[in-house]
Amino acid sequence: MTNDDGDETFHKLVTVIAQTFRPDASTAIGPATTSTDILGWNSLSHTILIMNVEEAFGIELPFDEIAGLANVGDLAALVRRVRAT
Amino acid sequence: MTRSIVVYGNCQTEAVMSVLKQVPGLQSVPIAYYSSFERSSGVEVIEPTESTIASCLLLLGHPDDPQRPFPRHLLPADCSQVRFSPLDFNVFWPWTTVNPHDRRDAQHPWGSFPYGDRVIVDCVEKGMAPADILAYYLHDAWNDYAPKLDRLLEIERRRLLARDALCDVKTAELILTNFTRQRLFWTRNHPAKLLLGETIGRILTVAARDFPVFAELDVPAFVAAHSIEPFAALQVPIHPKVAEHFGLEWCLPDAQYAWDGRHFTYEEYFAEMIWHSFASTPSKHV
Repeated sequence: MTNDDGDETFHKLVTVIAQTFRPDASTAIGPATTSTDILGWNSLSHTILIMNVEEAFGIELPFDEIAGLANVGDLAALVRRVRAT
Repeated sequence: MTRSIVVYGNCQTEAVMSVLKQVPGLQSVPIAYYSSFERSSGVEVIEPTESTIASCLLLLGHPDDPQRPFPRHLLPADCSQVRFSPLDFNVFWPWTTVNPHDRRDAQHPWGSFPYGDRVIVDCVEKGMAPADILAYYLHDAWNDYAPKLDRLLEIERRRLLARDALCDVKTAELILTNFTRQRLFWTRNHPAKLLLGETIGRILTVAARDFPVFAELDVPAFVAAHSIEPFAALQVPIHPKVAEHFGLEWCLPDAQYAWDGRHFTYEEYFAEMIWHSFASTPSKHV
């Protein structure tokens, strides 16, 4: 995953994640960030994150790919791909 | 060597353990609890030692939580394992979020209102006055935020079924086929007695395949006699539009919800949460 600085999708996604989980200011969210890096991001709250992402971008993400995302970079890539189709 | 039973998982598995201790024939068997999450300060739990885990004959628990997986490498080769899912469900609370305006104290190690509401958090951060927030919440927020409830249910359905596939005890269909007719959850991660009891019965039934002490039980009668209601003290109200959309037969408009020793209507609960948001300083969330 390359650095996404300057990528509108990535920055918007980071905002949604931050609004969903309210991490400490010391928690930086980058492409390699995983759920275990952010307090409160677990399999249960992942559903709410996906709903918030879909609302923010006006898209629906494929069910089969929602659960298997390894990190924030993967989620950003999925959002980009769905927006492009 | 005395063989032990270990239960692993979130607070729900503590309830499983307490029922397990009532099983005739297990009174002399050490039963230990290994938490899948970091405990709050002030809540003391004696966890199993490595030697207890090494003597474990039966591990009953959730699939590993990435935050605190079970040290399965310490289990003996002959240890049986029965996996069951945590009982949780987002569908009734589409606006759930972390509550950044909550606070923790000795009496409330998880906070006074740890189940935050996205609409209220947004309104507080926009600088709206408490009375205006409540009025907006009760009258206009639903149309502005318009949660896609059918989409939420479908995502949840698939999440529950996928997790069931990792478990020996299945509960997804139990939830999905009954949630409109019976109250199964008090909060999104706290099941009601009915669901918890049925799940414990299924755990005992699966465990009975390898252990005669469970096979000798009349499981329905045992569960009926020993089921507990450990989570009813905290009940998050359900938006009337959610109840209407899903046709929740048990969710009445004038329902009272228990919360921290008090009882609130839907409106009173959110009024209290809004005022609490203004009275609190930010703290670490759940």
